[in-house]
Amino acid sequence: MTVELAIIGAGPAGMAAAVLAAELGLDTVLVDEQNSPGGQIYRAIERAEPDTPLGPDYLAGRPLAAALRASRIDYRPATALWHIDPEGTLFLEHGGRAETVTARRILIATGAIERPVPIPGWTLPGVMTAGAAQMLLKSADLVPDGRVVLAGQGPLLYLVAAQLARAGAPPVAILETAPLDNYLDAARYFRRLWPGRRLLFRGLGLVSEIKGAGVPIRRGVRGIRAIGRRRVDRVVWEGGELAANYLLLHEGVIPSIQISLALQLRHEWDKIQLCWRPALDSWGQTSLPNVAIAGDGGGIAGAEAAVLTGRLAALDAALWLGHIGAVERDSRARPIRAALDRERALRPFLDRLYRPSRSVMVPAEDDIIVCRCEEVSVGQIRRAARLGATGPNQLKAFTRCGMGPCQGRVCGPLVAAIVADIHGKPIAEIGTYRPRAPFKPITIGALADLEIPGLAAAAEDEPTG
Amino acid sequence: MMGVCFDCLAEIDDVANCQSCMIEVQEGMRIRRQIGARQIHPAAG
Repeated sequence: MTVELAIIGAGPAGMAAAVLAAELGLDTVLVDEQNSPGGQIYRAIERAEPDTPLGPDYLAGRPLAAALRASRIDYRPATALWHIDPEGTLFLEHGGRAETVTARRILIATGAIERPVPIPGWTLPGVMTAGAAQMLLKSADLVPDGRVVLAGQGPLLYLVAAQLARAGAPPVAILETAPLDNYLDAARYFRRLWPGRRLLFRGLGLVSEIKGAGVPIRRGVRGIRAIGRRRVDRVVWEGGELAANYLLLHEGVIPSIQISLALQLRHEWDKIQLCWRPALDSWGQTSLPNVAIAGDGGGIAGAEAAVLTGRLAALDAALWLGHIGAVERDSRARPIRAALDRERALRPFLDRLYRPSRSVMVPAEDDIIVCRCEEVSVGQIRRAARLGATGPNQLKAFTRCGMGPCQGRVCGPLVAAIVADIHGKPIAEIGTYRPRAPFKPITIGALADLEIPGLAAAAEDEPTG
Repeated sequence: MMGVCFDCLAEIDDVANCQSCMIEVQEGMRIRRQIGARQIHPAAG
């Protein structure tokens, strides 16, 4: 099967891009792993009640999902992408069967993942990310029972605290880890506060709501550890301790780059957001001519910005595929770009306020597990680096880090930072893992059933004997 | 809970290495914990 545009991911960027692409007449397929549209930010949005504790920002995803359902595109939920080739063939799995779709142009809209938070005890049952707790609330109306401690920093931490409080399960405390210097650093960007006021007021509103619910916020917390034998029962930090049944960690989000790395697109190290991101032009065009990226997968800017970058990428795809001219693309893009500038206005301030501290990037204690799948510790990574391992890919051979089921999705940023620290080099020089297919587990049976376009013909052409 | 960490791999209806956080529970589903790497079972039938 061949289409004009294949979009990967049905979050805000993917949904908005798909709707506009269909409107412009592009033959479009949208593949997504989940059963329903929304991505992570608007997960399970179609089942949300108007009075959901998740709040109005979550409900903002409803019209996007409704527009997607009403548009004439080939939307494929519950479909995993397990391989992609640079020429434009997507290898998919759905219901235990593998198939391929070839597209003249590809838009990757795979969003963000939470930054790993490698503290002592982060592998204990009961220690999760704040985002994971939010997913359970979105998809199954579940709240953690017992004493919940939230720790870390970033807008999502406060949002989850407020949502849990509204759902009747307020956390016993928020331990904010933003180094106090961050406040001074962020203050230099005070001119951004006015253009970014909508987001700013939303954040301030959340903080006052949390305080109103009686949740204490402790600032400048350092040295957090999760303690417990079979599961977490205590959270300790420098100068304090709390009994806890759950510890929810969050140190911000970073682009999900598994697919863009596998395609060997050009990436850059973002010195402010402290993460890798694909190098993009202002339309989301990557270093491969037929591949673009929209949404947080191209750099963290939030859901509203993702909708806008999704639309810009759809306009550019329409030009590229000959459905509209450059004049129409540019004139349609003008109001989108103006809105994008407003959405991004507060970013420089937020990025500095919530810049992770050094201990999040390079854990101090040698016995902390870095690679959860293969149980490789900080100390093992350091020893291998001192023995001469130059980067994450070579470290696989030394330690097996990044070679478990998650394929380095979690430990990638940590391993690079630890090696960079040992060698005294910038992370940009150290690089990161090169992920390979299959991105998702697929059975041998599904693989064997796969019809690969052109393969049968090629086999017939081959001389035998 | 979004398919990133693979810490939740489980055996669902005799298929090992399923990302359980990505699969919606159904009536009659057989779910077993998977500790460590998957075992290869002889095919039934």
